[in-house]
Amino acid sequence: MAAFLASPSALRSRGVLGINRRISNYVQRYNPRSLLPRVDDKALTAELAEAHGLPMPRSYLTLRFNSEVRGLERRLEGLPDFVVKPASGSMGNGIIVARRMEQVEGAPRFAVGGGRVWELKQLNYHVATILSGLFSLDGNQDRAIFQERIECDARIARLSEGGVPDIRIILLRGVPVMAMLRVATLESRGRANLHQGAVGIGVSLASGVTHFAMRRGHSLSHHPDSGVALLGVALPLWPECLTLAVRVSDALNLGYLGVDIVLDAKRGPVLLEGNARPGLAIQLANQAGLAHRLEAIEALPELPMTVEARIALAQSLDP
Amino acid sequence: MRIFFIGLVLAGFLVPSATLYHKTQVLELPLLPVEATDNWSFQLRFNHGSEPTSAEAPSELLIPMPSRRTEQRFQVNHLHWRAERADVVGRNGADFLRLVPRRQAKPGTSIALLSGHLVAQAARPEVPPLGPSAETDAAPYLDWKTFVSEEDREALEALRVLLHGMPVVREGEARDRPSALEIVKRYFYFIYEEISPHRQGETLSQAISRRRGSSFVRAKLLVMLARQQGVPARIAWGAYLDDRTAKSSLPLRFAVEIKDGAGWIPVDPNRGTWGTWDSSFWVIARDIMAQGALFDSARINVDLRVQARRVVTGQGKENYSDVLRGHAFYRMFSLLSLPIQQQSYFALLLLLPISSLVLASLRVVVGIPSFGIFTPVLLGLFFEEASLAVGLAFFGIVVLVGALGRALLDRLRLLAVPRLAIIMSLIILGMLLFAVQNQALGWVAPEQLSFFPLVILTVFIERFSVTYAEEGVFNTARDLAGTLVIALATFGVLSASELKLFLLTHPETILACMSALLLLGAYRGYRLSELRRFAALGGAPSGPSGSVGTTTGRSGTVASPPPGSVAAASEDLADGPVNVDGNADDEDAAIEPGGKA
Repeated sequence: MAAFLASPSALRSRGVLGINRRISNYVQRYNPRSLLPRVDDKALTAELAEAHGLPMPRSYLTLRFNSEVRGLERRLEGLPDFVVKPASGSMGNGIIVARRMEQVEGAPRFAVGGGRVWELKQLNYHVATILSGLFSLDGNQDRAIFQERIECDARIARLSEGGVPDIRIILLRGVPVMAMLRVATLESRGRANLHQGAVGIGVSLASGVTHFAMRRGHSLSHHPDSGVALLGVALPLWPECLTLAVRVSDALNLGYLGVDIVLDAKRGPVLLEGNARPGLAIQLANQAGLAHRLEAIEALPELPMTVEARIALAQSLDP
Repeated sequence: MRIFFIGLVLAGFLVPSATLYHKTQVLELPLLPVEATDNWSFQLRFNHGSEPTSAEAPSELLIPMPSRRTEQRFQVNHLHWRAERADVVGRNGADFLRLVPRRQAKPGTSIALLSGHLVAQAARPEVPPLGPSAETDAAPYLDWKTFVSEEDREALEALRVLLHGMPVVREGEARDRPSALEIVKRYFYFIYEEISPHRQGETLSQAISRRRGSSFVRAKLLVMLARQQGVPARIAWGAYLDDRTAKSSLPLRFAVEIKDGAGWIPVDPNRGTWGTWDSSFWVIARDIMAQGALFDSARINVDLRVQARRVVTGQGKENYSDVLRGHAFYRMFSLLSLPIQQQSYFALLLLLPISSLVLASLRVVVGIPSFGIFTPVLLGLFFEEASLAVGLAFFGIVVLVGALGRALLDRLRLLAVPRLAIIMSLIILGMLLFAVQNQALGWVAPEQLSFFPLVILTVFIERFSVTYAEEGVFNTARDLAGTLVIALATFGVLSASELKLFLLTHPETILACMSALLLLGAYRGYRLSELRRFAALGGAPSGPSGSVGTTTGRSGTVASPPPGSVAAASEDLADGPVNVDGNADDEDAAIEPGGKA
């Protein structure tokens, strides 16, 4: 039974990784500052992914200047749906998933998740906000990226409510360490970010089967909105997901990395983004600590080179 | 690297420890300079000379007592002398103490005769007593022959000739001879300007020939010259409370009072004032000449020394800096020598690292979230400047107004920078209205509104609004509470006046603060908030998960509890849902400049 406070020794014996240790022992040690733009700048991530032949959502257009906002309507013409995100955003803030709706009196309208409907000027405003740097990591001017909206694999889309679920895999030195599935709720307004109220679901690396779910620190077994059972679900294309994560890690060359993957109905696993400072809630979703696994990988004198061998190693860590 | 780190940390702690040890143990300074109150203790030391020229030690002594207006209590050292309040009530209010030796006073014994306390308020110069009694008692103040030796008498005569024996009266001018008082005045200026002060006491003739003399000799000279002219005069003795020539004990100084009609005119050859005392001059007593030439060492070889000592349990700032300035090492960074205004500025600056230490501890060890990294510190600064109640109220109003304004502006879909500027203008407008109303209604002192972290607050409101929109009421309230907690902690640090004084006195302590920050920066343990956040993982005992497979047990018992226990677990957590993702993702990114920067 969980006490109000855990004792530090109990957490240590469970291998729970804390923020301080994560920063110093993993983020700072394995992710050299010069490489951080590879994940902090989503445009750069996309470039690298393309160069390595990694599947990513197609990029429709990138806006840099406010003057470009005026012509947005014309440039979005013919796109049934799209995702708008700040190039240097973090924690999913500022990301809007828009689906074109029936026009009213010739004016375009967009469903943007959470049951909200935006007119064009609201969309323009949001884009201008992104450009002004409100969501960017360093507060500087940012770019707004318009991306293809992923048509999620129906087998896991049903787990989510109002948004695309994504798979977060944390890797150390190219070896997957832990994974979770994040599904949106009404509260998270279609976004798969846990701090916004999405559900985190632990996924076994070996089997790709969900085994625990929690939301805002509470464990649960069914989706709070739809009531769909969340546990015991086998994720489709699981080996492919792991393979993609390992290849992304190689392409970005970041030692400690969180890779966010979505399952496209047609293309299979698609890289959404990388994160050089992946959050620690994945431990709660998996009811397991990261530290022991990370230390086990660090203790290996030599890491396996091939993708398959690394996945096998990962799966032996999390059977 | 590890050695380097440890060395750095140790050095940061050791240097201030060493200087503090040196200051308190070697230099014997107190830890904090105490604002010195003008509270003085004094001692009248009677020194029985070792080689008396007269065969017999005095059988009794009359010691002038400091007037009762300045005294708080007196003690007599009863070892050698017995004190009797003299019947000879002093002339013009001065009391005398008759001292009778207990046993044969041996030559060379030095005895503290009197000690007492004086509070500065009482140290105002006394108005010379007036009245008929003063008039009738004038005669003794004309006796000069008793106190002047044959040799001195010649010197005095020579001086008299020099100064007015050849009166400076031009031909043809029918001038009256200068009045006696005018002549005395001339003497006074001569002594003040021509006979320079000197430490050692000399005889009158030596003072005249060498043109220098002790304070006593100069005063005595003037008194004798006045009495020769038939002008009653007496010595008034005391000390200058602002005297800086001595570190802690004040030298005794002698001045003169000259009778003019009914009153006594203060005349001070030390400071050159005629008709008034220097405002810091404390007259202990008057007329010592009458008392058997206590001070005339040539005759009875006793030496009365008066020491007034500033009563400081600690040392005042000035004194402290005097001592430190004597050491080249401390002189480099002693802030006490700066002007007061700069001192308070630096005191505040020095408190900022301490505040940051508190901030860092609260973030790294406790894990309190806040809007912005240094926003809480600046808020704390504002609270300190404005007083807590005013600061909090003002902060609340401004945030409310700003957030409302922000919500309204949101509908207008403005670009970010102009929007921020508008919010800032709104805040300024609010301040303006507040200030004007405050002037009329007098809620708080106007100077309390002097400093306000305007820009910080504008950004704060922006972040606040965005967090509210993006992450909901709960997260916003949590961050707001965290911000206030840290701001209040900072306020606590900033308003600790002893701490301020301590840092001002020992600025090198900042090194220890930096060492503590180094240690904090190397802290790898859990944050207190994580003990709560991961409470669900701390309960069930489990082997090192992951490294060795737990086979199917994981999905059954430990990791995936049956629905019943899930419900129980959530209930357990229900009273305070933890922040699931917290700032984990980008906490350090917010502090450190982004990769592109």
